[in-house]
Amino acid sequence: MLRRDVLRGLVFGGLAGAAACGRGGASAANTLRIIHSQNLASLDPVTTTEPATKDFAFLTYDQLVAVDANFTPRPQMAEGWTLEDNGRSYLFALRDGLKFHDGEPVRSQDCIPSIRRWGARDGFGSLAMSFVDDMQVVDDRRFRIKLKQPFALLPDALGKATASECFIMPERLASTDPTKPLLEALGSGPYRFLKDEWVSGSHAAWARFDGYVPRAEPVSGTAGGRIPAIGRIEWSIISDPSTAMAALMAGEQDYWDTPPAELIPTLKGDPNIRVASRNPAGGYMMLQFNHLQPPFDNLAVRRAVAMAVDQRQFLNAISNDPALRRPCYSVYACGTPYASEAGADILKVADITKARAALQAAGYQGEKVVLLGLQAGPSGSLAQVADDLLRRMGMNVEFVAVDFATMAQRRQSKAPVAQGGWSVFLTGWTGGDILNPAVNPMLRGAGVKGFPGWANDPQLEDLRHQWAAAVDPAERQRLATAIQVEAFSTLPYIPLGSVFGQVAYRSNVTGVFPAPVAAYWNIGKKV
Amino acid sequence: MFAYALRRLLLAVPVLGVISVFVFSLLYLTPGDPALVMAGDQATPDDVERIRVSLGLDRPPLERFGGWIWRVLHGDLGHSIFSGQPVTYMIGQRLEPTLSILAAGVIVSVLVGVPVGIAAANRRGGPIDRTLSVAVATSYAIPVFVAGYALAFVFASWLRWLPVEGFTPLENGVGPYLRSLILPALTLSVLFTALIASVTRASMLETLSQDYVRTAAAKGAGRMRILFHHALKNAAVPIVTIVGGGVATLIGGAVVIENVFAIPGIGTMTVDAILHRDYPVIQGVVLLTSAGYVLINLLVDLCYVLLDPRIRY
Amino acid sequence: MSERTDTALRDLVTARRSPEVATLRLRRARRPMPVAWEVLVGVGLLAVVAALAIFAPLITPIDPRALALDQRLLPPTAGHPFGTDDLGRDLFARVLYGGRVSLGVGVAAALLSALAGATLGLIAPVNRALDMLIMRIVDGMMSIPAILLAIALVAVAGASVENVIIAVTVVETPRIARIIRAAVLSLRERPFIDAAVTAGSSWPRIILRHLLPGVASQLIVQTAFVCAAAMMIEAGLSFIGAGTPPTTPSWGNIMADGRSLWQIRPNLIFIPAAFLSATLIGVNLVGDGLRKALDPDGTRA
Repeated sequence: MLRRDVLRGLVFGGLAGAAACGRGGASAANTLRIIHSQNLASLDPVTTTEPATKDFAFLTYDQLVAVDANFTPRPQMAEGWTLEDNGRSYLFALRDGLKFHDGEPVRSQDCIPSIRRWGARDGFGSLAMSFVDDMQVVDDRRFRIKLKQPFALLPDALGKATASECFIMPERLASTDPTKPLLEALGSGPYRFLKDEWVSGSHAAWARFDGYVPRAEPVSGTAGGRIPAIGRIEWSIISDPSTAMAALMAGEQDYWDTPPAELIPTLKGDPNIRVASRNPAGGYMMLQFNHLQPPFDNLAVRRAVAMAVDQRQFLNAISNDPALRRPCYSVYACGTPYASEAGADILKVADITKARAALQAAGYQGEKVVLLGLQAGPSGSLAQVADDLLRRMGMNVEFVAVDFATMAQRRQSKAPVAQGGWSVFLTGWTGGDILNPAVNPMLRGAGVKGFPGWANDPQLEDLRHQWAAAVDPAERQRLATAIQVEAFSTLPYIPLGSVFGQVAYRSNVTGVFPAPVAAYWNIGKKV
Repeated sequence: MFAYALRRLLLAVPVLGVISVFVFSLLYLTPGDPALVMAGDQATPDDVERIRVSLGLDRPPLERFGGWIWRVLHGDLGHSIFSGQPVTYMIGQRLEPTLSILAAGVIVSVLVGVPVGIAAANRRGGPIDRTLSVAVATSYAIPVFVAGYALAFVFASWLRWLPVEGFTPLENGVGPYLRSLILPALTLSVLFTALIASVTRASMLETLSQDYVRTAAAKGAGRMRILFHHALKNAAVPIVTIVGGGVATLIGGAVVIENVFAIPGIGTMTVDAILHRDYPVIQGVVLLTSAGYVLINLLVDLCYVLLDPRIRY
Repeated sequence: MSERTDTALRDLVTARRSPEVATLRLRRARRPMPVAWEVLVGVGLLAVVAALAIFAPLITPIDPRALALDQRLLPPTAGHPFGTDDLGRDLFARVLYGGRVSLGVGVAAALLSALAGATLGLIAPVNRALDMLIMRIVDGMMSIPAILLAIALVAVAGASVENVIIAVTVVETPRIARIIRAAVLSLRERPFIDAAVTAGSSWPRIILRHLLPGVASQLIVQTAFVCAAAMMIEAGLSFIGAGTPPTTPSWGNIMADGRSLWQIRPNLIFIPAAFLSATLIGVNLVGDGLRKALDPDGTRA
C-alpha cells in the first residue's frame, strides 16, 4: 500500500544517506576518546573513594602538593613551604596565576576549608588533622598550619595519590558538610568538567581550561607540569570488554584504561595499538579475616591459611603473563621504601599438606566458613580460587556470591555466620594505598572500631602511633619494619601478591607517562 | 469512545498504586544500603550513619513512602542518591536512545515480518511457509546477547560498515543517528520478526477463509487486491495486539542489548541503580515504565477502532 | 491488556465466525490424531540434552568445579574436548553439569508458575471483587519489565539457584494466570457449566471437576513455553551479573564468564549457547506440537 511504501522508502533513503556520512564530527581529531570501564557516579572525591571519581577529580581539580615517581611530595599549586618553629608550623605559599574555572583566583581562604573537609573523611587526612592545632590565613597567597607536635608527614598526606586525595576547591564548595556529597564541580585543574554533557553510566566530557598555568618541570608521577595537551577529553563508559576491544581496534576510541589481562595479547597483535604499564605501583590483593567470629578468631587457624596460600598460584588466576604478576611478601607495596620480607616466612610455606596438618593442630572442628565474593569480575574469580584453596585445606566453606552493594553491607555484620555474618572476603588496593602504615586501612589492630575484620592488636596500634610521631626517617623505617613483623605474627590479613594492570591506546596517542593514578594530562594525539 | 478512554485511564491508577507499593516494599527488604555504597571502604560507622540521616533513610518506611507519593503527585520524582541529579532529568537523558532502539526494532520487525507472513499465508505449506516455521522456532532460541555479538562481529568488526558501540543523538545528524541504531535494532528484531510473521500468517489465514473474501474472489478481484485491501485490514487487529504486548518483552531484550552495545539507555541505568541501591531512580523508572505500558495498551485498544469498524466502545 | 485483546487473540485461529468450518473441524477431530512431527523432534532433542545432563558423572570423570590455574583458556584438545575456561575448569564437564542447573531452573519455574498461575486464573472469575483484585495485581506485575523485576528479586534474596527459580516464577506466573482466566471466562458460558451450577455443585467442585480439565490442555502448552522463557531469563540474568552464583555452573553463567573473551575463545560462549538453543528449540517444538494436537480449534490464546 502507498503508506507502507512511502515509509519503506524513507527508511532506505535514510540508510543510504547514513552510509554516505562518516561518524562523528570534525572535532574527533582534537578529542581524546577514553574507554573508562568504571562509571562516574559521584562528583565528590571527599565523600566517595570510587576510582572513577578520583580520575574525574584529577582532571577537574588541582592539588596543593603532589608526589613524584618516588612518592616524594613536591609542590604543585604551592610554590613551596617552609618549616617554622622546630617543625611545629608549616607556611605554605601559593603560585602565581592560579584560577578556578569561573575565573576567580585561588586564595588561601579556599585552601584551608578544602584541607579541613578532606581531613574529616580521609584516613591519612584525619591522622594529619589529629596533629593540627590550627590553620590560619596569612594573606591571599599564604597560609599557616600550626601543629600540636612535629609531624613530618604533612606534605606526604597533602600530596598522597590514593583515595581520597586532597583537592583544592572554592571556599563555597569546601565549606559544605563532609558527609553531604557535592553535586557540582568547580575546580582549578587543567580541564573543565562539562556538566551538561554528563550522562551518569554512559559518558562524560571535559574541555581544556585555557587559564591553567602548568608548572615548568616535566611530569614525574603526579608531580610536574600538568599540561592540558588536547582540546577535549571524552569518557565512554563501556563495561563489556569485548565491545570495548572492538571499539578500540576499529578506531572509535583512542585509549582504554583497564583492558583485561586475557585480551592483552590480541591488542598487542594489532599494529595500531600500543600496550603499556603505566602504574608502577600495581594492584595488591588481600584475604581479610573476620577476627570476631570462629574459626578465624583463632590465630593458629589464620596461620594455617597463611601456610596454604601460594601467591604464585593465586595470581595466575588474574594473569598468565609472568611479567605482570609479582608475589610480594610484605605488607607494604614491593619496590617502595618500607617493603621488606622481614617476618614473612610463614607466607612462603605454600604447602597444602602442612597447612592441613596445622589446621588440625589448631583445633578446627569443621566450623562453617562463609566466603563473601563478588559474582563477577576479577575479584570474583579470585574469590573462587580462595574458595577452592580453603576447601582443599579441609575447611567447610560456603561461597556466598553477592553484588557489591550487598557486599558493602554484609561485611559490616559482626554477627555469627549462622545469622548472616561472614568469615573471610577478598579485597584489593593499589600500591599507593599500602605505601605506609598511615594509608593502609587494614594494617590496624583497632578492634571493633576499625575496618571490617576488626583485628584486635594493641601492640600494632601502638607501633603505628609511634611511627606517625617519629621525626627521624631512619626511626620511621625501623618502626615500619617492626609493624610488619608484628602483622605477620598476628596476621590481621594475608597479602596475596601484586598484579600490574596495563593500558592500551592507539599509536597516534602521545605523551602517555608512568603515574600511580589515571592521569590524563600531558596526553595528546598526533593527527 | 472518549468515556471509554477515560475509564481505562482511571482504572490504571490502582494498578500504578499496586506497583508503587510493591517496588517500595521490595527495596525496603533488599539488603545493601546506598549510604554504605556511597561511604566507601574507609568510612567509619558514624560517617555512614550521618550519610544515612542526610539521605533521609533513617525515617520509618511509611513516612518515606508517603513523602515519595506526595512528591510524585507534584511531578517530582526525587533525586539520584549518587549523582544528585533529578530523576526526571536522568530519565529524560536516557529516553531517546531506548525509545529509538525500541521503535526501530519494532519498525524493522513489522516491515519484514508482515510481508513474510502474508507471503506465507498466500501459499500455505509452500517454501516460505515452511521456512517461517523453522525460523520461528529458532528465533526464540537464540539468546539476545549471542545475536548481538554475532551481528557486531560481522558488520562492525569485520566489515566495518557500522559502529561497534555507542549512540549518536538525532541532533548530531540523521545519518550518524540511524547508523548507530542499525545493529541494536537488528538484534532486537531477531526476537520479534518471526513472531510478527507467524501472527500475521495465522491471522491472514483466518481472514482469508471468511465468506466475504470468497465473495470478492468470485466477483473477480485480483489476488493482490484481496490480500491487501480486504484481508490485511481485518487481520491487523491481532498484529497490533502483539506489537503492543511485545513492547514489554522487547524492553527486556533492550536491557541486554544496551549492555552489549554500550548504549546509554534506560535499561542500563536501571540495572546500575538496582545494583547500587539508588532507590529514587529505581522507583521513578518503574513507575514511568508501568505508566508507559498502560498507555501503550490504551493506544493499542484505540487503534482497533481505526482498523475494525465493527469494534465500538 | 484488556479483555477485548484477550478475545481477539483467542479468536485468532478459531474459525468461530463460520459455523460450517467449525463443524467440519469437529468432524475431523474425531479421527485419531497423528502425532505432529514437532513433538517428535522436540522430545528427541530434549531427551538427548537431558540424558547428557543427568548422566554427566558417567560421561566425564572431571569435576566441573576443579580449578587448574596452569591450564587456563585452552582450546579444545584431547584432554578437554571443549577447552577450558578462565580458571582452568574443563568446559565439557561444566556444560554437562550446567545443563542440570539450566534445565532444573526451566522445569521448576515452569511447574511452579503453572501451579500458581492456574490457581489464580481458576479462582479469579469466581466473583467480581476477587477478579478485580487479582487482575489488578497481575496487570501491575506484568507492566514491570520482566528482567528488571528478576534482577531486583535476586538482589533482595541473594544469588542462588533457588532464588533465580523464585524470581522467574514471580515473573511468569501473571502471564499464565491471565491466559487461564480468559479460558475459564469463555468456558464458563458453556452449557455444561450452567448445568452444574443449576444442579447445585459448589464452586470448588466445579473448578476442580469441570473447569480444570477444560483448561488443562492450554495449561500444558503454556507451561512448555514458560519453561523456555525461564531458561532464557536465567541466561539473561547471569549475563548481566545477577543470576546463579559462579561456582555452580549453569549455561547462563558459563556464557557470562566467557563474554569478554569470545573473540579469542569463542567456544566459551558458543558451545553453551548451542546447548541452550537446542534445548529451547526442543521445548518450543514440543509446545507447538502439543498445541496443534490438544487444541486444534480450542480456546487458544
